[in-house]
Amino acid sequence: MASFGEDDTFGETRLLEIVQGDRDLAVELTEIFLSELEPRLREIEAAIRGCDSRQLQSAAHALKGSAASVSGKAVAATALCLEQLGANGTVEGAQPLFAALESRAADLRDRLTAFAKG
Amino acid sequence: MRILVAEDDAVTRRLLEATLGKFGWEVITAEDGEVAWRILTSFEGKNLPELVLLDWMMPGIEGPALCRRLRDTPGFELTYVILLTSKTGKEDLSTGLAAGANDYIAKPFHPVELEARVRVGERMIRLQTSLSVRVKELEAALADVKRLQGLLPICAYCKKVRNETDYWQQVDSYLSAHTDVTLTHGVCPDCYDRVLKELEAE
Repeated sequence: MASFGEDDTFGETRLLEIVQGDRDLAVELTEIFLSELEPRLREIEAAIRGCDSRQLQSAAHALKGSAASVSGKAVAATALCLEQLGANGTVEGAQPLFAALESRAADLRDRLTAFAKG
Repeated sequence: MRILVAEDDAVTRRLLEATLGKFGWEVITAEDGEVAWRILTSFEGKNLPELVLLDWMMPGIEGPALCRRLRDTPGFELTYVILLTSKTGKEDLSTGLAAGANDYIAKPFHPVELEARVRVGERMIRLQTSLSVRVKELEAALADVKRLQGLLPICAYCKKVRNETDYWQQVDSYLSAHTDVTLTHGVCPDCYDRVLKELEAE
């Protein structure tokens, strides 16, 4: 599994570039992301438990997109791995990936919360 | 220009809405393909969004399917469609474009690229609109020419002509109404001699 650096957890500079320097918008985006993070993780977990590869693909795809939009590269990349598993019609090997996703999502949550507080 | 954004991810949807809004475009958002379809058809052909940004993977109708539906629906043939996608494989892109999309933007997108692609779309829409106005003008001109080519009944005595509404009209007013010719009045030498003789006889 790939290892990620600080900037991969949360690319603050990249996020500010995406929003063209509009910090208020960046904070708004992080708040939307944080409000949806937990339900999205639970959706992925449920898909793995239920051996539902299509649901895994769709839930991981959703998290990948929103994480990429707030420059959470590590979470987006891990979600992509899970999405690909789902696209291949399997949930086999998803559990360790999900554990890594939860850990990276926790790091991202901390970083985004700190960013939002300014 | 009015833009409809169909994107199920709330973060990306808000980012698109804010970014496009900053560039001065009017943005309408839909959280999935079904909602986007309902919004588009609710306009009943008036003030339709000229450009539509569709996420590829959405619950319900996915971007390419919605694009195909638009292309099959009268009134949406000219809508400029951009697909938003993290699928960048050649086959995927070919599928998207074959569905009738005009362009695609890879996700995650950069605002500069987003603006550039939408501006291209805007230029194409303007060109298309001006071409369509020009075609209508040409069609109208052609109809006039055709009207002038038809059989035109003319009175053998007073020289009035019968127009399309069965009204006998002076030939000069008929020509003015059916062509871009403006007639000026004068007297020809034959008539001048005749009228002069008549006046002298009086």
